[in-house]
Amino acid sequence: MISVPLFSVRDLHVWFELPDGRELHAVQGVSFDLHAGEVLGLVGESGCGKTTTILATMGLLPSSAQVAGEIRINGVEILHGGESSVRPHRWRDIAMVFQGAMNCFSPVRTVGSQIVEPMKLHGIAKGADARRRAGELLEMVGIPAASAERFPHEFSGGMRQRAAIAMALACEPKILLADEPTTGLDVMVQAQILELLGSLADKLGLAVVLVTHDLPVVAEACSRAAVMYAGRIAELGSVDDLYHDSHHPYTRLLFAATPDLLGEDRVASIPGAPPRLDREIVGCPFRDRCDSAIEVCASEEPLLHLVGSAHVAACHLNDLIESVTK
Amino acid sequence: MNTRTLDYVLKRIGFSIMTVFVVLTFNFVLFRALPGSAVTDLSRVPNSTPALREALARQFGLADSKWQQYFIYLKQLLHGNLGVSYINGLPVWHNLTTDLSNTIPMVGLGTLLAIVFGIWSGVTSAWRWHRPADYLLTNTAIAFYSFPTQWLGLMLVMIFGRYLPTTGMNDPFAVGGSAWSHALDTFKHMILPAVAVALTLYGQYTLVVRSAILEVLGEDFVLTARAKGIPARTILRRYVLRNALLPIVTLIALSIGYVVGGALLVETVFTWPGIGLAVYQSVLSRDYPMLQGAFLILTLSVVMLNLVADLLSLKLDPRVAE
Ligand SMILES: Nc1ncnc2c1ncn2[C@@H]1O[C@H](COP(=O)(O)OP(=O)(O)OP(=O)(O)O)[C@@H](O)[C@H]1O
Ligand code: SF4
Ligand SMILES: [Mg+2]
Repeated sequence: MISVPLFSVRDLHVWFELPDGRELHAVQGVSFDLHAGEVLGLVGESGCGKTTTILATMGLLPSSAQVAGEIRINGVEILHGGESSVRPHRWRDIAMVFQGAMNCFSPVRTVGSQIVEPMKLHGIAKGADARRRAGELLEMVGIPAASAERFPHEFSGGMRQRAAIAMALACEPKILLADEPTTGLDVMVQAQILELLGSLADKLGLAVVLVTHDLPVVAEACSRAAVMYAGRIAELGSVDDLYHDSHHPYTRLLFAATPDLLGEDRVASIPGAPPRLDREIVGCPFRDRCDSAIEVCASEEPLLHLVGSAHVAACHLNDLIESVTK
Repeated sequence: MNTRTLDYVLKRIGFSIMTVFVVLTFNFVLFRALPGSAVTDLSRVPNSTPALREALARQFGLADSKWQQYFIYLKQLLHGNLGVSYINGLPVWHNLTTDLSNTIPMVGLGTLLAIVFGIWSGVTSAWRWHRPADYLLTNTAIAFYSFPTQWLGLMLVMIFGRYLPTTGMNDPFAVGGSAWSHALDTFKHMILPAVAVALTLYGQYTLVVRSAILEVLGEDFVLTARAKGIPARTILRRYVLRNALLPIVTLIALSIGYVVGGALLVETVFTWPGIGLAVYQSVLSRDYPMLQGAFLILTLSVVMLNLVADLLSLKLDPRVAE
């Protein structure tokens, strides 16, 4: 695509300083682009850096984190200017549904007032106008508008999660970062919310990054997906390609792993565990669990290479195949 | 007020009344269970005859059975009669009001200082978490929290004794003078003991406020507030302090409740003629009615302020009534 992407992440790195002085390299060179109306899935095992990536793009990591890389909205870098240069973009251009969104409301204020707050702050709407809008947003996620006057504890967990989505849409953002927005909701509600996100992407041109453990959700809701492993992107491409033409053993194992009934632990059903991120990794981070590792995997880190149209993967096997076919 | 709230309020009031009653009974039993009686003390004269001791016992109502004493005690309490002091023979109520009027300004001032300074120091250290200011303020608070009160008092006397009076409430040699100069003299006498009270109390405030704020700072809604683009100062006020208020208000209510208990150690060190000193002297001479009176007032005050804290928390946190 030639046009400037709406949202672009380039070579993002995050290091956490641990209490004992060591560093944990949680995100190691993540890059992706996102265009208006697109839903990008972000999948990977627990601890692979999905949440850290998302928080870093909004400059929301704690002060123990060091961040490098570029985040651009419509081509404009937002992180380098520090807190004051990100703040105007927050919620206005780029909003977020947090992992554990149930707790994103302050318990001592009404849900409505917390949805109205960013509208006032960013000059979207105020007074009765803003309150009416908050009611509409709640109705859009299936909550009666009158519930805006109620306190978070009067909502069920699922309602709070849906209200969190309503709140994220308060300022008509261009980009929505949704970190497991449907985890813990029942299947019906989950389907409704995914459908809602899809239709918002279609109708309003909202660009969504959807973090999830749930591969069927990716298949259903996303056009493209990035598979993360040990803080890096292992493979990124259209959902079709990832399912049927995967170029990374991890993706293949992930998508082939037998679904268990709960659907959540599917990702964890590959034997072994990911490497620790608090020490340097030599070679391919997936080596210990890979069923097709070769000699070079132990010494050299595989880099992301184009393996198809808009399809990249980081695996030495691809280079091998390339050199054989040449 | 919906029914749930009403239910909560009634329950709290009922609970408070129960507490007062239990403590009253406990006070009665406790003081009778202690070894020695006032009569053996009062009549500790070489030739005290059994007849003298019996006469004294009757005079102070100690000859009846314990049950009778208990019911008389309750009945008298209902009439606001706390009995007569064994020491000076004056009504306990009279003694206590004098002591209280000395205690309340001094301990009240100290408590107020502790609240203001403790909250400031707690908020600041939480806001500067793991930075030099935090280490300095937190460690100082812990130090003052753990120093023995008498020692702190003596330090104050040693350091500031040259500039400020260290014993009693007034200069005994300053006769005459206007009411104004008398009040000023009292205030000067009040400074050191009040500071001692403040120093022993403020550490607890710092630690409670700091941990309450740190806990809220880790909540998802604070992260959400940042993501919404709300400026840091507004987040501190609107989200963090507002949610940390509950434990702080409870602590404030409790320490205000304890003001009428006096400050036994501080009042002893500075011979401040307050209720703490009176309790100390009453213990030495087994003056049950005085002790009971002092504990009754303390109980009522703490229970009352607890109730106030409970009702306030209803206002502060909508989840409380659930
Ligand atoms: N504040 C922090 N301090 C130190 N390490 C952290 C911090 N936050 C995350 N990490 C580490 O960074 C790595 C990535 O964590 P992250 O939460 O981004 O994973 P995730 O992919 O979102 O996992 P999950 O699926 O469980 O949500 C993990 O190893 C985690 O332990
Ligand atoms: S680089 Fe080697 S170890 Fe890594 S995924 Fe490819 S084959 Fe497996
Ligand atoms: Mg996560």
